[in-house]
Amino acid sequence: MPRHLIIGNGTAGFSAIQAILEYDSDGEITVISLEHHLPYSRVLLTHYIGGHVSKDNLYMTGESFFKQKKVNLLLGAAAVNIDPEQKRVELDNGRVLSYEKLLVATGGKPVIPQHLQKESPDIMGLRTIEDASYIRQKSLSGAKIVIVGGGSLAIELACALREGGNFPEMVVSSSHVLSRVADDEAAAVIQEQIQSYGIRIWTGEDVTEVVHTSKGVEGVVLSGGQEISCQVVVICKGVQPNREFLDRVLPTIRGGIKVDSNMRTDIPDVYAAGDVVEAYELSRQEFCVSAIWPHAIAQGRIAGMNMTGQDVMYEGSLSRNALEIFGLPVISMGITRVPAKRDWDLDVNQDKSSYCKLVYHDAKLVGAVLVGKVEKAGKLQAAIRKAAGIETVLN
Amino acid sequence: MLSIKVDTVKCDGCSLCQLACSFAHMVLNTETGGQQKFPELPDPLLWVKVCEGEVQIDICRHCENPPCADACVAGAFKVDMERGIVEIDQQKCVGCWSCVMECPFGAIRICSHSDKECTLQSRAFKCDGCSMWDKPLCASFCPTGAVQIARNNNGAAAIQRRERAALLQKGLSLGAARYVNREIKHRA
Amino acid sequence: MGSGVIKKIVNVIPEACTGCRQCELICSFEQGGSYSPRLSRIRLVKFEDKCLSVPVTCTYCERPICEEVCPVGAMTHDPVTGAAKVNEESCRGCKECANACPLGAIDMHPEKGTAMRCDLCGGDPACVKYCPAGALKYEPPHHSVKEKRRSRVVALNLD
Repeated sequence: MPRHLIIGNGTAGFSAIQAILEYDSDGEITVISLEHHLPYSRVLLTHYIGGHVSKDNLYMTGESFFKQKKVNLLLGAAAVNIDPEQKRVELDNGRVLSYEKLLVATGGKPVIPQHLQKESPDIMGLRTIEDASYIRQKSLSGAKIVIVGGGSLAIELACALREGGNFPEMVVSSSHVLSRVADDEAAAVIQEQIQSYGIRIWTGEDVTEVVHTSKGVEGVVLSGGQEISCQVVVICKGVQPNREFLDRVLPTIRGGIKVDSNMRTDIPDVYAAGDVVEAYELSRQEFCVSAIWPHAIAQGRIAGMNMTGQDVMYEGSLSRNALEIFGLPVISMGITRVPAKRDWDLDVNQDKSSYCKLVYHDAKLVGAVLVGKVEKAGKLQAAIRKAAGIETVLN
Repeated sequence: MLSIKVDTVKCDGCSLCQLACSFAHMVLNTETGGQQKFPELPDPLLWVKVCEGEVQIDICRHCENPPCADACVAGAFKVDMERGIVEIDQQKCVGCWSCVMECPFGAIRICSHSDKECTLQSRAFKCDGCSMWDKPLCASFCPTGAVQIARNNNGAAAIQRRERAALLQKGLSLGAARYVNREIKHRA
Repeated sequence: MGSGVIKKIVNVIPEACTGCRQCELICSFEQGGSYSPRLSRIRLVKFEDKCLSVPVTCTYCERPICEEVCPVGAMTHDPVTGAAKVNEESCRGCKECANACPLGAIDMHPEKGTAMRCDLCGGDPACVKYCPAGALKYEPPHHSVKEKRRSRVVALNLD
């Protein structure tokens, strides 16, 4: 019987394996992976599409790591149900595994709106190596690609495709790109940079229909009535936690798995980490899903350590993101969209090539958006963390 | 362990360390026999900024558990335990700016591409600990002692401890020791 | 800071120290589980030429500079008891605190790379308990000052 069972072979799962091995070199770990791959870096997928990273370099480790550390890796298997009483996990291939400590690190899956869910390989999200390989192959063969969404993944994908010689078009439902992060001014700088490289952005538009014939996708119809002809539609509208198999034992209406500061769920001996959880967010001071790489690493590590019997607290995550648009870096962290209330304060600095916005709440730094000149980003993050930390200590 | 002490109070902002850093990396990176007689100075790996009378020295502290390495999505950061330095593998780096966002010392920069052909790739760079030199050149050239680097264990901490102990010991010789001496004299 | 409670610290009486390194050993055992002066929060400085040794440890500043310079807020102290704590998970091992501490009272853990700061063993410092020479005292800071004042007056009276 494996003592440590990990469902999910992504960043958080791998980080947890390393933490468990650090404290318990004979940890008897079994990892269940839905994908037929060794753990790889999802963030690199756009770089792979852009041709900057080879497929081999996507992987975080080699097969030898699992052999050497005696970690049992079950590829291509999915958990369908867990039985907290008997401490057992049921797999889709009928196998039943028991555990002493369980980590749920199943990550997320792309959100695909109802009206776009069609049986076609050309309407897709971007989450796995297979997705990335497909997009890369299509891009190299000169297919026209429409990206639905204006978040950081959409922009990174657009840039990567352009770097590979493809000219995609973006359909953004908000009035500008990065609507959850940037304000109008910052977005204007970013949008100008994207458009100057020949990528067309349709703002304030939604894809109402995908024109789909027996030959495959032929185009999309926008809410404004325009039609764009294309062969591939990539939907980048965020991710949602992969937690259906837990619905019976941990019912929630929406969102991720709730965890406490030790990354424990409400079920005894079951931990959760990564994109699937709702963890404490420092700047907003609430529990929310924050699906980014550093959080998955930190949460996986904390969960792994606690599974071996340590008592380590997770200090909370600070939502943040960094991306580069053809040499123009954009970094955002903390609260960046401000409600129009009195105790919020903004400090905006803008010149031709750079934009910097600092957000204060009750005279404390809670967020920042930097475009162009981003050298001080790390220092600002430390300041935000310190400001948030002081309050939690006082409380 | 590489211990880097930055004391901005002592710093005059002369930026000699920055120049020394460029110089340190120029000599070794230049291939001899090239056509250029005076090669261009490479970018420094630390930055001095004077802003409203305050000086900032952005230099990597070579953390033992570096946040930049945790944030790196490409596994390009490596902690060399033997030399006590944090290194970036330029072959693996994809220039995603994650490390820049994490470093609380602002010590990582990216040399970014801006060409219209999108052929170049961004890469992160930072202090490499001057491992090819006997001593890190920035600290050697600093005239005020604002940058001090020790390669041994707890460089500055050990020196400070010794200073503190010496002070305690001085107090001993002034006060208590005199008392002890006199007592002995009286007895005699 | 300013909690109003008179906190006790480990006072060092250098003239009493015999240099036996008992404090280093017991501290490393209490904190790290092994007898290794490298893991000790109290460190002995020897002046061989003068046949003197002086233990140095955290003096619990009222405005701890180590906490100020820490970029990740890993250095904290309990506002009520005053006991210091290093959050080993958030500590990045940047050595800023070790470099900033004017006393050299902070060392880096040789394996974990995290900062090591005296936490007074939660209110019962082992170094004080085991010091055979009585060179360490766990008392409010003003006690040792009182002692010094006293010895000074005694010295004057003998003239």
